[in-house]
Amino acid sequence: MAKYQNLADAIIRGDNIASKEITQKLLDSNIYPVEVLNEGLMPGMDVVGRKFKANEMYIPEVLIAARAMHAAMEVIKPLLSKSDTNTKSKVIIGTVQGDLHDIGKNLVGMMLEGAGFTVIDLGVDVPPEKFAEEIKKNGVKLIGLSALLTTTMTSMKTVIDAVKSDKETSSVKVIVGGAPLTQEYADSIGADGYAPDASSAVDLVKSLL
Amino acid sequence: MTEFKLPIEKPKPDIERFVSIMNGKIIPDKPPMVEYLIDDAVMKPILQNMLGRKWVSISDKLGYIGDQMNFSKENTEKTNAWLDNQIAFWYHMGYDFIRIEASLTLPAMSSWVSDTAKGTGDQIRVWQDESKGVIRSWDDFEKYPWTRIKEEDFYIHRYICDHLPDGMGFITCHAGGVFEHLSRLMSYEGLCLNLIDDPTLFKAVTDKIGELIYKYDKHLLELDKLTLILQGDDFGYSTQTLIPPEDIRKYFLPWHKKYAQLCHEKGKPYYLHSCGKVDVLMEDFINYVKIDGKHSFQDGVAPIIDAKKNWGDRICLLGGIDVDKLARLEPSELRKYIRQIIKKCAPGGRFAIGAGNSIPSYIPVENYLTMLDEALK
Repeated sequence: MAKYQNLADAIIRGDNIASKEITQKLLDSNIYPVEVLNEGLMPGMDVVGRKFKANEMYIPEVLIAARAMHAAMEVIKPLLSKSDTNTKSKVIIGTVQGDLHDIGKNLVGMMLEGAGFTVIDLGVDVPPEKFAEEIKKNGVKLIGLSALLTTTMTSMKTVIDAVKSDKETSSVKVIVGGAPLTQEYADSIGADGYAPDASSAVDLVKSLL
Repeated sequence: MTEFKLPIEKPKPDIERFVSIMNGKIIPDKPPMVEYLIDDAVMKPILQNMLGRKWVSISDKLGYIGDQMNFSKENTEKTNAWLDNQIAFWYHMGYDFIRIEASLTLPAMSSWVSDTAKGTGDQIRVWQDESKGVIRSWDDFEKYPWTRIKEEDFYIHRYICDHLPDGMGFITCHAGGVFEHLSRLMSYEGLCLNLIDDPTLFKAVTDKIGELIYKYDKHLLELDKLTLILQGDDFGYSTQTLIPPEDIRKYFLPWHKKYAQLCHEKGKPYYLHSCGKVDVLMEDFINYVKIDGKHSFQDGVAPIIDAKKNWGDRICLLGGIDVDKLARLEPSELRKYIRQIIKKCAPGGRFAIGAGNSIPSYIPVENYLTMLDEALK
């Protein structure tokens, strides 16, 4: 709808001041917070994701778009009811043990949040048992694993084996991504999916949940 | 372990022939070998077990990327022993040159974690901090301890020139290019945000680093045994460039053009190592920067076979053996794969075989030797 286009545009061009102001104005005109989220912010991040995937936007532009999204979310979040935030599933993401690479995982997190998922980011150098513990604690149905190096991506198999062999977590979907990863490698370690970039990761999560 | 034709007891390096092959004046019957960097974890067992030399580690003493070098008397002796090992390694493994690089002192933030690669024992892996730069504001920029180039910055270079075996060349550069050091000092996330929020600061830091490397290169080009500069500056990752291509053209390529010009004025080639999906910049590298060669080709991102078709008649192409395959294939499969690369890339010359990126700690020694053995056939 036209009244939300300015907000979506502010997200796309990464204008965090405008995104916050427009969000506030929309809320002041008695529009439901969840509608602002669904009709303005999420479509904006969706465009960012599609342009990023098509190499029409680059990481710096995605980072400022995510910053604009967060600025708007600061206004909206306190007003969202529990039922609003539970519209989509929670997802756990983390960089596997031995690996401190952060950016790729963070981009996936930003894109997922932009698509309306609740993201629990476990950070970097995450041991397999931590993933298992957090799955049980949060009742999530999908986790995303990131790795930068050939040597650290082998830790992904350890996590997948641990998750799939535990009755309590065996139905949880595990997706993987990172510079050295391929679909072939993802298949060989029993992952449920592989995404070559952050935007594709969102599509993958949507298809699996 | 397989029997290899390595190490070569009496090698006959010929750096002039290497350069002639790379610029297309000689078409060889087999491609020469190239390597960018070789990790201690791979060098150590070869030096100890195959060359019978005593291992010397200086990783805690000699500055590599951005750390302070220590040239106390005790450390100089250790450094010399380390350099003797380096020369012996490159010489006996069949290379026509030795490649070593060092950097100016440019302190930044790093993180450490246990290295999970096989063969590294209880070593740690150092990771560059991606979100906490030491330069986040103009005040940080003003207060940053910018170094001045000193004579001792070139100690290892002079030692190598004085100790090169006959026929061996010397290839080097400033360890870390302009973009790489910018991402060390501002952090990758920091530089991304500053590119948009404060492009003047972004440019000021870039130009400060660019100028330092320019002055450093002038010193390198005074070395009598220097063959060429093979400068590293990673501009890409697996699916695109790390910042928009137009910004790389605007802020970074002018510096590389200056470095290439310096080399060409001295009659030396200028090669560029740049990882990731940078094909969008290749015409700029060739036509604007005027590189003579390009290094870093990985199958999933920039396969060397495609590069040969696209640019192989205009510049030389270096490396191309996919690091993931080097790390994971069984030696027999690896040999087949390497033969295929040679078959496709060797015709017409202007190609040197080696790892697509470098030899990191997680490449099995046997696979590294398999690659060289196949190249020497």
